[in-house]
Amino acid sequence: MKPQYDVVVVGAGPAGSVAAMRAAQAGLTTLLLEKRQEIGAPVRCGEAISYVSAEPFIPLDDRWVNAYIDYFAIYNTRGARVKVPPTEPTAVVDRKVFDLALARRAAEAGAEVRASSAATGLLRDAAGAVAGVVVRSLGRTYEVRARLVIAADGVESQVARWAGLKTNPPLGDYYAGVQFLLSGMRGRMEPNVCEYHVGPETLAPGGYIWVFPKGEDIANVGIVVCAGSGQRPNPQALLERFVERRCPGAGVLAVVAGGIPITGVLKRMVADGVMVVGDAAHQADPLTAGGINLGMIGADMAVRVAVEALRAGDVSARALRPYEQAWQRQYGRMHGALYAIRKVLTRMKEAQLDALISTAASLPLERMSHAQALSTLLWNHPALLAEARTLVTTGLLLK
Amino acid sequence: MFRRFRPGADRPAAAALATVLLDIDHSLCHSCGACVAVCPPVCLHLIGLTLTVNQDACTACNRCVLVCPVQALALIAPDSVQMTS
Repeated sequence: MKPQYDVVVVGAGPAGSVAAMRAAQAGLTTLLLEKRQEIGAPVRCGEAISYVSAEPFIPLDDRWVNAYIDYFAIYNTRGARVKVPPTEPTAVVDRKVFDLALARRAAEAGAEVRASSAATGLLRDAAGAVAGVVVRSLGRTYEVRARLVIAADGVESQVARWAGLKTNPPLGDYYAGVQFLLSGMRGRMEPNVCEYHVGPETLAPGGYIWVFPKGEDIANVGIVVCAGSGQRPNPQALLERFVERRCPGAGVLAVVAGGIPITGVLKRMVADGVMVVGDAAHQADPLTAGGINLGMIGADMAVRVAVEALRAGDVSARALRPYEQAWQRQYGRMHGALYAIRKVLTRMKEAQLDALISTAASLPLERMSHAQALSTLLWNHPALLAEARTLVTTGLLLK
Repeated sequence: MFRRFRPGADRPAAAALATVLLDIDHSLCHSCGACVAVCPPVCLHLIGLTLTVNQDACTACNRCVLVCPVQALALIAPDSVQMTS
């Protein structure tokens, strides 16, 4: 580790690795820190990504693709399901290999990668701007100066907080999740279908359960719940109950847990000498909570602005602000629409949602236009009219 | 019961008001940081992979307890000896 870099990236998830890769490719001296002993482990998500959006950062590779997804199936508690084709070709990947491959690409581009190295504080210059990080690595403490620090340290981002940014999501916009990697799933799922199960009262309060195949026999089966209503849901117990019913006796190969922000992005994603990307900036999709693609895109956007700012020799918050503006321009509306849809869904009672999914399941959706589908659903579920305005405007935004 | 001590408040006075402590069951904790993200006064820290709590800064807001995916956190009453001392 050198005493000085142009860019120090904290966190080697997909967003951090892409940030480090892009910075190194731009000719900046770059350090990529990961506090965990092993990049990619433990896996902290359902591992489904659109590999088309990943393509600019890391081309599809059989070493990390476990399953190709033909469609998503949304189930209600009575077992009716709506089939939704993915908007982009999607795969379930092996995040351990995927994350490691991305970090390797950062290293190959010239970034210095260090696992088992945690940022434990920030260095500041005389004016109070962030000027580096304190690193605890393999038993020793280093002061590493940086012209710019990129915080990619996940939802619990300490770097962003140290930099004085407001990162606390409201509880109603925060998922708590648990996932099991299950074996013995052969014949108990379709190997090319990602299942979502919704049931706001009995299955997953404020969230959903998913079954994502990772081959013929194993699958990620997980749950997210929302503690927003003040009650304390127990996602682990709810997931165990689901697994007990759905696939009793399945082997649990791994258990992971985590929190996911499902809000809009942070109001401020930059401070003097600091940029925040990925989950740390709440860039995850506020409906599905998928964060890999958006995190990588956010990191790419950030570094484009960073390169200009570093070239001009000004990394003040004001000089870095074009990153926030670029994000808002490209994803602000989409994020807002997805957020609004989730809010509509979370306002619905289980019986309503069950009925809605049952109706939708009976319609030939693939042969209907959005307008036809929406009007049929509204005709059958007039209670939805209260939400129609949101649904129509968000539908238009997402087109 | 909601008039708990505030971060940065005078400690001896705050300690007298403190009716609860945040308890971490490290045998359950996954070090996932879900709690750290929602902690408003930043009294929870992942130091490396170990979750630690600064009881002095904790306002007992209960947000971390609500979001912990594996029920590793709880607000507990200190024992009666501490209460009377």
